[in-house]
Amino acid sequence: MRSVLSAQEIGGKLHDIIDRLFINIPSGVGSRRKDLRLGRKDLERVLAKGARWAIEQGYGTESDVRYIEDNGQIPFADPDNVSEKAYERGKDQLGTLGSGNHFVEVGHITEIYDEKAAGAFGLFKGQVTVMVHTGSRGLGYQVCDDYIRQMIKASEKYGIVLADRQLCCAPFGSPEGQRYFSAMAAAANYAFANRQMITHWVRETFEQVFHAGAGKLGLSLVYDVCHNIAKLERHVVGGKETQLCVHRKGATRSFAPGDLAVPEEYRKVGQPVLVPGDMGRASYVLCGTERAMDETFGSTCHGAGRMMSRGEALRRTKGRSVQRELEERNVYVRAASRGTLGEEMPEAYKDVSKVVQVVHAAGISRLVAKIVPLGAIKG
Amino acid sequence: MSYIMERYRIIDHEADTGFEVYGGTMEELFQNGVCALFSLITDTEAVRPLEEKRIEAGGNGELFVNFLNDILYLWDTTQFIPNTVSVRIKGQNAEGLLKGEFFDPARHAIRQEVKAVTYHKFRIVEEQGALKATIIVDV
Repeated sequence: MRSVLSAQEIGGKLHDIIDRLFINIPSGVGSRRKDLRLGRKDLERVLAKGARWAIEQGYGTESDVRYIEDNGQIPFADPDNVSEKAYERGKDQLGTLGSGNHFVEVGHITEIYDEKAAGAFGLFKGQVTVMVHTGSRGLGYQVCDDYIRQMIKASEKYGIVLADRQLCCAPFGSPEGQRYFSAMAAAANYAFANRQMITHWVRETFEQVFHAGAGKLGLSLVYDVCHNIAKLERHVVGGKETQLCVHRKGATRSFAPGDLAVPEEYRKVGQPVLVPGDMGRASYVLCGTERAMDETFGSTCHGAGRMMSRGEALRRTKGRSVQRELEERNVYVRAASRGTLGEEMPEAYKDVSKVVQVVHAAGISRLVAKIVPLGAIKG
Repeated sequence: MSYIMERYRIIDHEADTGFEVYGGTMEELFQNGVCALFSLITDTEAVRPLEEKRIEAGGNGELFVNFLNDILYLWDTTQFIPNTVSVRIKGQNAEGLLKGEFFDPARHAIRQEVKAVTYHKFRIVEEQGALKATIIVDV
């Protein structure tokens, strides 16, 4: 999200913003909302309608969906293909951040690399931004577990020899394949709704702190994008346009200028690509390129990637206060668990600045802006 | 000769988190697997056997992985942390009697979120008369 605020205007209010975000957005392992328990029918609507459901409930504004991939609602989602167990896990986790590498981060733009693209995305030097990373929570993990059990059987049925059972699968057009695809889409819609609600609480939190009316701080969505998802897309293969199922794992979309899937306002410069780094260093905004369409089916990296195992990071941070170390770098962090802070310490990750240089040089996305963190909440 | 057999060993590679679990019998392997799984999530030493829960696992795929995922489901939906487990395996089904307590933030420290127990690299082998399973989890 962008804002009309500059880093100077945030000034002494940063701690207040982070503390209130931490209260307003439930975080941590098994985080759940006690104030929002959804019935079965409500959840079916969430799974079918995604971010649109959240907006109908008053979380956000109608224009938000313009800047969400697939307008925040994957149409072929089928709530009936999601198990009872997944519904059970999902019913009180909507509107929560979760744990692990999930976060809400307040940052500011310190560098603009491409004035034209930054202008199209509404970004400027010194601007305060907010980045949210979370997904489909326990509901999504359950959909995965349920379908892996089915796919192991399906792999046998279709005579697919597996190198590793986790890679179980079925032909895309088979009943098993289609059922899974529609359940995955339903989980993605849950994730869209989840982030839309968090977007709304981020706005409310800023407005509380600044005593500002709704919309006055210009906190609007630059882009909301999926990762770790399979999409049906048309790409050129051997000179011929072909329909493909593109699964991006550890990757995200990087569609070129002119693509109809890119919001109209951005279509001249390409799809916004968000590459979050670690808590201490930086994150980047890039844009999609023609080269990505030619070489990587319109894909680029979606994060820095870990350099250290979680256990190794924990061992190295034993006896240290990661929170204090981050404060020394002028980053104020609140975390639901000390463990998460240790695992997620900056040195546990590759240097994102080097990672984005690689994808920029390879031409599969282009640098637009650098964001340096001011503060964050973690699970 | 008297020695206590190691129940599990945590695997912590750059990309993989999980455990190797050992048992004299399949039942013991399952029991130790639950202990290993929850040692990743919380400090199981602090969990008291105050409540009982029963679970039954079966279905396609590997019974051991399904069993662990079903207990993970119980944890995620009810916040129940098992402390001791007894297991009965009958053909393609496993029944577990779990003793433990519900998560209490004042008493229990959370280590990390485990999203799922995976089939990645999963195997059970027999080594020197005992069973050894390799389990990788998604965190």
